[in-house]
Amino acid sequence: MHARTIKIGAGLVAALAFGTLVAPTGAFADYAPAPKDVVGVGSDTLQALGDFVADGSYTADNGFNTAGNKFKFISIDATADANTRLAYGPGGANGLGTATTTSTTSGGVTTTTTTDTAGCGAGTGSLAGTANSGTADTNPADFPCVLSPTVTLRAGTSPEQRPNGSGAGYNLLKADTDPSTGAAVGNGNFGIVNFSRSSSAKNGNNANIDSITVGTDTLAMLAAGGTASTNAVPLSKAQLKLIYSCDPGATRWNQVGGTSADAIYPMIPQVGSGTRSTFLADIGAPTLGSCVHNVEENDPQAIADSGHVADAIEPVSGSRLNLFNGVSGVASQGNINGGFGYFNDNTCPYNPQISNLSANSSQVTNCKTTKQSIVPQVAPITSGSPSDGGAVYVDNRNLYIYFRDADIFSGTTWQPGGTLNWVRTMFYNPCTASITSKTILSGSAATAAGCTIGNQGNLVGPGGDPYFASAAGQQDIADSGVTPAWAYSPAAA
Amino acid sequence: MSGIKKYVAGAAVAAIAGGGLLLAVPAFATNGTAPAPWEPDPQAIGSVVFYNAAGQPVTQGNNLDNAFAYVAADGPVPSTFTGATKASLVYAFPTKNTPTSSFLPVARGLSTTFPTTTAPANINAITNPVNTVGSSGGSSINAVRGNGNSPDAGYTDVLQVRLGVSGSGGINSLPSTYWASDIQYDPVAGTWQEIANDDNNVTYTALTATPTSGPAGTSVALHAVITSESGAAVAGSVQFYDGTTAIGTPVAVAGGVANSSTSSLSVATHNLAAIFTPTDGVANTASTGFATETVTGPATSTAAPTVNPTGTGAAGVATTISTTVTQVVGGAGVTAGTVEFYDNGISGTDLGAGVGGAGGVYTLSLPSGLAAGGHSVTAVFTPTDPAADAASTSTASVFSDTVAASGACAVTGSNCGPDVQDIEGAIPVGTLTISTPYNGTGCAAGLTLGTTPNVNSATSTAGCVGGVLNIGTLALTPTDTEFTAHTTFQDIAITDNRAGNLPWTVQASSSDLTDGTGHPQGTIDSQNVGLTAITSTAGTGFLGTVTPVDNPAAEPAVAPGAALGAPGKQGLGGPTVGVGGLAHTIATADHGLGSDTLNGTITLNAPTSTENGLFTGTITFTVLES
Repeated sequence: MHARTIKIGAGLVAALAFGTLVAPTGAFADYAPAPKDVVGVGSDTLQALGDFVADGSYTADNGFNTAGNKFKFISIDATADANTRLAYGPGGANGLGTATTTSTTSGGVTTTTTTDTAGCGAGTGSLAGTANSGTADTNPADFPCVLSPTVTLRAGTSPEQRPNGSGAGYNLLKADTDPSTGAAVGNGNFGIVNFSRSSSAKNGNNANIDSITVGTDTLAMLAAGGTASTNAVPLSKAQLKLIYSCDPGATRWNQVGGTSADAIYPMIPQVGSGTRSTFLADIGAPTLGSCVHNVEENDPQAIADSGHVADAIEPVSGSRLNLFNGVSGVASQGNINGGFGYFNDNTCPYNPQISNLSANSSQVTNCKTTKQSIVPQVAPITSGSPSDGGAVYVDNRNLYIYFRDADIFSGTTWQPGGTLNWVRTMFYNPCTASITSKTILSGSAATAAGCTIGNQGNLVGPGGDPYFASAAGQQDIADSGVTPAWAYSPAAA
Repeated sequence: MSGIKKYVAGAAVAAIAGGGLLLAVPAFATNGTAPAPWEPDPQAIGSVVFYNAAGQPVTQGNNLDNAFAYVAADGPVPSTFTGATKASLVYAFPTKNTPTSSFLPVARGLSTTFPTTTAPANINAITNPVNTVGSSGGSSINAVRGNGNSPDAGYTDVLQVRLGVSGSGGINSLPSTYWASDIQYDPVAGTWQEIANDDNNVTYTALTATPTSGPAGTSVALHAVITSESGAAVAGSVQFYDGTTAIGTPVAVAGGVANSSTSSLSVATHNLAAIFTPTDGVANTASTGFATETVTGPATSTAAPTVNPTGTGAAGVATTISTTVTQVVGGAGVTAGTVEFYDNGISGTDLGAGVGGAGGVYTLSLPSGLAAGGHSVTAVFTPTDPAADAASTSTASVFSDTVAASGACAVTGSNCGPDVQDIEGAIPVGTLTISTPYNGTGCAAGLTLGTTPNVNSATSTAGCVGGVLNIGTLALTPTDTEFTAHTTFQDIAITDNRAGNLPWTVQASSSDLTDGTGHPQGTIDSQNVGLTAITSTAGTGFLGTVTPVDNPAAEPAVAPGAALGAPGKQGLGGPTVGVGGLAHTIATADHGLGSDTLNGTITLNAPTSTENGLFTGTITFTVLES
């Protein structure tokens, strides 16, 4: 048995309604990529970034596919939810079965312990192969009982487990790569997948796989803010390690530099979240104590849902918060959607037809404004001086796209009538005499070859900037709340 | 498509000179005329208008890294896309034998909000969709042109520029609805120009400013030439600009041109523009021509140098040369600058710099004076600050210095010269005569008599005619390289009665010969007059030895106003017109006592560009006592 507190999940998520407002060239989540489409998977933190670069943003900035190219750039969502929420099996995150909860109070601190004999039903949870087993998986290590949504990676193929997260995406890219030649394996050697999204650098890089940095995302502690009050104070990594270990010396705000005697309510995104794994690595990989509450990832409403608004903290992706607030990743651009965020109230149907709603007047009232707003307001803690003298915890992490080095120099042109392969079109177009040449040119040789100075101020090959480096691509990234960037890193040897 | 005027194919327009930017209209290999074979594009709902950073409509340019700064649709947002707030550009690469819907689209620039608010005023006033192109290098024509690789034959380096609109809530006209125009570019020359699609007849405007530079107050003529791709004349008007300031009011185009002028440009380098607005703005594009005008400081005037002393006895004597530089307007003396004095032209002898003084007077002192002979002295003023004062050059002061007369020449009754002789010659069809002895008063006995040349006949008899030496009617050489004629120059008589049996030197200088019309080709340069093969016939009591000096005419004949040739190739000529040219020695005698008569062969050459007519001039002879 495993004692811990657990947030009850949203229950079975079935028949998810994909897509938001219908757009002529919107992201068709049911679209199965064609063999020559460029397909990527991976991190949830870059999910909106990938969507906007592909098909344009909600602020009328075009994406790569908007111009009408024959072969598409497809960024497959990390979760089956366009709001990047996890989905769970029939028993919810807790699985099927019974759970017993006891509470003890000691020294003014209330500790809630749940003992459950639940198990993840077949096909749910993180243990591989359970779909073919007849019994539930009761190993708590395999909790929560995520649904493992699937996706059709290429037209004509069967649905595959949807890679959720930086690690899952990178592993699929690596599995689809011949380790000796570095060439793609699946889909007729074009690759079942062509790139992966990542919110963390992959240690021990495969020599066959390069990356570009496409932006930065600020990971910081979220607490109530704005018009809502909080007892939270700036915290250092060391303090957070103690808090998330439930160390008795770090359970109340007045033990870590605050004034309130309230118990700290530490929350952390669900297993599988890139934010979770980066945060835990940042603060020194503590063993999580039972005072830590798992919450839905990428959901700033968790503060409100906690029931402890003034004491709740959780690590949050800054770009995710920007999306909720309708703010650009380029600070000077500020509000880019008239003060409204990207997300709608997902409990309201599209273009609510008031007359069809239940007679419950609160539903009518709540759905008149379909944009989701965060209530109570929240704000990240990015400045201030923690009481232990350490720096306030802020992780300006790089966001990456990984792709095969061999694809940079592929002689296969991508679009009909075009001269570039897909890597040079989208990610990285070095100044070389031909698309297969590996000799980087400079000076007069570069000019003679048709190289020019690109949007980033560096030399780019004939054909100009790859889309991610261009003004259009960088604005798409900014619209997703990420601070845009572009830099190429070859694979570590 | 609404508002579309059917393009009428016409002859391609030939290359237009001037303006610096206009390109020859491309000759397309497929059918020899525009528009491109994919026109009309069924996906296009109109054309686009290109503007430069100053907000002027352009249909061509010479910068592929920043071809244009704004691109506007030529019509409003259709009702299907009501609510569109942003416009974006797509470069579509034509692909052989495919419809426009299959062209390779490349879009790297921002979707930008319209109407604009920070663009030039006329761009901000546009309500149709406008894209602000931006100067990020990665999305320039130069950057993206490497994308396409299979155009229709004859349409390499042609792009379709598409403008789409988008709005929040998923509004987007792309990929299949847009405004579009076609451009052709030359990656080597770095130029581009709009070519006709099925919607527009593209016009091109070339602007020339004459002169291209001058001092403040100079009247600058502005000349705009409007051409169009269809070859047809396009009615409209031209507004001239100094930068963004209008010069005058719009000028109606007549015969494809519009003219204006201005004399009020400030001291600076000006970017002039001529914006052509067609009367029918639906069928034709607007266009702009550019020219650069450099206006230097207010005009100055450098006076012809004052040389003191000159003339008889001035050779070798301490001489001062001075000039005054003044502002043309107001007359104030200009002291901020330097003056250099030259003899026989700027490429001649640099006599030295004048020392500046009050009132704009510059003085050069030559303690040793000038050599004997003809001189042509000019002064060149160089301002310290070209923005404050213009440079200027004086006209020439022409004079002849001789050594002071002494000895026999100073005695009353001597006549050592100058002895001015009138000569004339003619070019066929016509005659050339030189009259001798040739002082215009008749032909002395013993002179070979000639006949007056007739400009309509090919020959004449050389000799004295009424006191003028007719050299004859010039004929083309066998190789047709020049006209030439020669005859004997008779009876240059020197009579010497000095004590001491001293030597003498005879010098001669010729003027230019002119036909009196004032035409540029109505002058034969004096260097084309040669005197050679001097023979001496001793007269009474003459016992000296005469050494003749050949002064052959310049070979080949030189043009009027030619720079002075090397010694021995100057004929009897010099850089001046009229009396007082360079004196050339034709003969010397070691003991001059007695009478001596010189005869020689006078040759007259002329360039083949010389017009026909009767040309007259003079040769001046001088005898010196040494």
